[in-house]
Amino acid sequence: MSHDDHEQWLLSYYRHSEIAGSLFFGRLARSIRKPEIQHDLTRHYADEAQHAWLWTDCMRELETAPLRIGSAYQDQYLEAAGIPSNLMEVLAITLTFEKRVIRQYAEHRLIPGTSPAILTTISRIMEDERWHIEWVSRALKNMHPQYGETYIQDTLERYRHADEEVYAKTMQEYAEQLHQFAELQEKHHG
Amino acid sequence: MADSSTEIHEAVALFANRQLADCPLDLPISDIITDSFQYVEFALDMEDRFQVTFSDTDLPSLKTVGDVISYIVAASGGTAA
Ligand SMILES: [Fe+2]
Ligand SMILES: [Fe+2]
Repeated sequence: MSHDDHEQWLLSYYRHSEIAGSLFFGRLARSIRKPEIQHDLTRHYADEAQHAWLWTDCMRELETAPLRIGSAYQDQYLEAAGIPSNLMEVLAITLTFEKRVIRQYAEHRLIPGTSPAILTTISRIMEDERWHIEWVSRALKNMHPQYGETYIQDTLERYRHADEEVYAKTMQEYAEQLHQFAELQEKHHG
Repeated sequence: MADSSTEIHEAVALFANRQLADCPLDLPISDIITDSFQYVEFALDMEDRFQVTFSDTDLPSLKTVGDVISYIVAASGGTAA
């Protein structure tokens, strides 16, 4: 695979996973009626859809097109990490997702020679991603009286472990693509 | 208590998009919830309506509509509002 092929795969993967996130939050936004959560969650849903659009647009700017990607991290997550059974667990799993996403983008951004179009897209997305982590953390904190701090902390810990496991099992392809892309890019620019 | 059971039963039927008569107590939950995300939506709906918190171990053990109703009635102290 060439440098451009890896880049196309990675950007397609980001786009696919933003779409998966948007669909997840869209369904949640439809179910959740608590006003304070519904408001932030609906914005969150709109952000993820916007991110999918930003990647699509970025790919056009780079004169490439989205590939069909088999399954996103999120697709396998619910089964592997255990299906959340209440609102607090839904937010805990969301926080775990979001932290993973931020780490992926941060890692990509550090690759020397990354094109300005990609850097701009990642920067725009990261701003929203930071807000995603902020509002979900705040909402979880507000749930202390209802669910108890220990239950919340234990749940977060459970999902953190699951996240490591799912990532190791399902993200090998992503990790390899990113690694090979970084190597080729270094040759390109080094 | 009879009233709250009926209310829960109606909520389950509404979620399932069925008439009450088509949502009998022995109806398997798997007939209503067909994918894992629907399971989340169901839990959130019941939590929102009846202030009942399911745990990840409780919910999968509820096999029928009747089981769900009994669980919610018990969790809300027999006075699900
Ligand atoms: Fe996003
Ligand atoms: Fe996000």
